Amino acid sequence: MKDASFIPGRLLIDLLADPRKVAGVSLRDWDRLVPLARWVRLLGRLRAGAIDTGVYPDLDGHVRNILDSSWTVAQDQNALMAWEVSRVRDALRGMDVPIVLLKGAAYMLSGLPPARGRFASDLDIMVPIDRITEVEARMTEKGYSTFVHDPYDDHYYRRWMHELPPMVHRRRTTVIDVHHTILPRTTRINLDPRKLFERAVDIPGQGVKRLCDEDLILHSAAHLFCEGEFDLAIRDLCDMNDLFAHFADQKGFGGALLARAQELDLLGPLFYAQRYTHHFFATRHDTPAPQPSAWCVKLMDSLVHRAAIPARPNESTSARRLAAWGLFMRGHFIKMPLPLLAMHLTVKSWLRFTHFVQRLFEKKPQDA
Amino acid sequence: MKVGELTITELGQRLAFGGVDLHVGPIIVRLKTRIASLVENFATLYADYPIDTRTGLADIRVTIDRPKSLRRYLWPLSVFKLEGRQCFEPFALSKAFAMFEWGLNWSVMNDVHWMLNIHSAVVERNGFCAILPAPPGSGKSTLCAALVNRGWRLFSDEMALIQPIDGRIRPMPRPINLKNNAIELMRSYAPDAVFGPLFEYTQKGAVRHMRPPIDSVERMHETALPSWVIFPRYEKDSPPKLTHYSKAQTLIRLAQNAFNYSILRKVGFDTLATLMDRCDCYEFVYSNLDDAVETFNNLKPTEAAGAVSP
Repeated sequence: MKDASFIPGRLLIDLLADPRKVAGVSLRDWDRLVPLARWVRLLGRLRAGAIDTGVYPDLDGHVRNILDSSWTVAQDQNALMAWEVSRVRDALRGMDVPIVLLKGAAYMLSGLPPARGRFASDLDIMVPIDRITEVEARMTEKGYSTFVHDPYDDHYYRRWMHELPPMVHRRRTTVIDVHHTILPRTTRINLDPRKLFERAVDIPGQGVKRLCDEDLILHSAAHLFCEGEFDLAIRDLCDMNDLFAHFADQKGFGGALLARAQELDLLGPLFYAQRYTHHFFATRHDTPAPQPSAWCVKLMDSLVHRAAIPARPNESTSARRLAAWGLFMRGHFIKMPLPLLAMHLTVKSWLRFTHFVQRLFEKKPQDA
Repeated sequence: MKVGELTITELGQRLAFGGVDLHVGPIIVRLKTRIASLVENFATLYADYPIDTRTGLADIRVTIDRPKSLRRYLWPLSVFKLEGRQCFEPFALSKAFAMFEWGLNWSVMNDVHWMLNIHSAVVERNGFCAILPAPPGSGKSTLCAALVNRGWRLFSDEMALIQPIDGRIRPMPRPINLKNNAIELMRSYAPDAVFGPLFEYTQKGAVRHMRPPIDSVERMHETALPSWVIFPRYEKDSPPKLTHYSKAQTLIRLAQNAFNYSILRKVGFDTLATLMDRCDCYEFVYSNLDDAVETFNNLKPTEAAGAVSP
């Protein structure tokens, strides 16, 4: 029967670290694993791992069917995303503005390892801040519009965030985030986005760019360790781990990464990226980033070791929730100066409260 | 073990604690619920279905329960959750079973993509399948119900599941969803069939489920090749008219009626193209069910579907 000490999150991490192990997972364990892997969008990734290591044909047919379903959806989303990239490129044609793809879209169109079986949700692109008004106007003219209609949320994006409110084309479904840098405007980290554009590289044949190799990792690290969204932490760590492994063959990459982290004021996030890919996936790093103060690291360890182990909301322990909340607060603290943060959280709670009150008095739902 | 071998109390206990893993054709559905009416309807309509005790891996995990919010004290409601996530507005508590049926269709449509899934009824006889795609209201379910009460095997009244690898169809027999006038019609046409309760005033009008024939349920793992695609249309007082229909048009209409044709991309197209090579395609207008069944009984399977020519 059910084994109380069995933690699906730990099994998932084990399998990501060593995909050959998927061949040994029992059907009962798959039963707990599948909903979790789906939740953190890593089911397609498990299939990719099984294919790469050659164990896929040994899997139970029932498991293969489930993995195949997930893979099919991921492939379709990737194709939709590639199409959307071409639409955005055409929409901005003639403006002479560099379009830098971020995260999933960049991995996919550059054929980088994290793209295998990855569920790309939104299309993230980055354009220079001095052109962003023009870009938004052109995209609106070409049929894109935002679906953020709450005035406070709109204000929040434009005034404090690193992106416009998300947009979507009126005839398609892919959500597009147009960034002008990789961290919120209000962050304590002193990062000049012009440096990102300077070293961005062309993606061959696509008419768009991606961040340079070092910046790919640094962006992922900054995103995870400076924004505080830890729900998909394991996916982000997995992405970074793939990138570390992929670039490790390049001579001098470790040193260049370190220098670049220094230049972009991202040594902290790089340190944690190295530390936790080592912790969860046993990845070795030859050129470690300098360690922040010992008590900081200790505190981070105690939070990340709990919060990064994936769990669905109903399987999450209170220790994990508390750790995730701590990281969320830490992220917000880095994201915004304290007074601004206090104001933002007050406004958000107030809006949530009024929304809640409204819902209480909502009329009975349509009897179906 | 079959659902019907459990007493209603045992079944209720299992559904409340841990859930019941049900074999429904190629997939395993785990249902958890504490709603008494749902347990009762489930026991009636799924009596012949095997409960899985060996696999332990479910494809679809459904929980249907009363909502936790304060509203529950004012209006008795039931909430459908797929893998812990609420997917629809709540239903009236008494209609929980109808919601289970629709929700299960929706879940298969959303999560099962290793087969091409076309919105259509499928029935089989002598090893050959007829696919009956049609928009709601065309009498697809009624015709399907009539056929399975006259010797055809039920694959599904709602979805054709085609394996891309060999083009064979997987049965997914489920209770047949009859609506409005079809309910009384079927009660007199198949007086021995078992029916669930009548759910009035749903989004689709009155709904009543008919238990599938036991033979269809027991043979739920037996696949078959498709031989005919037939677009049925009920027309008052019309004599049965079966007319050949263009394969190119059929392919397009099937693609439009498929739930995951676009997600499967090239695989979806290839699967449909192979299907078209195997099948004869028709439009069929009818008014009388006996005539319709006779027309179907006279269909000749195609050689491409494996029929041996005389």
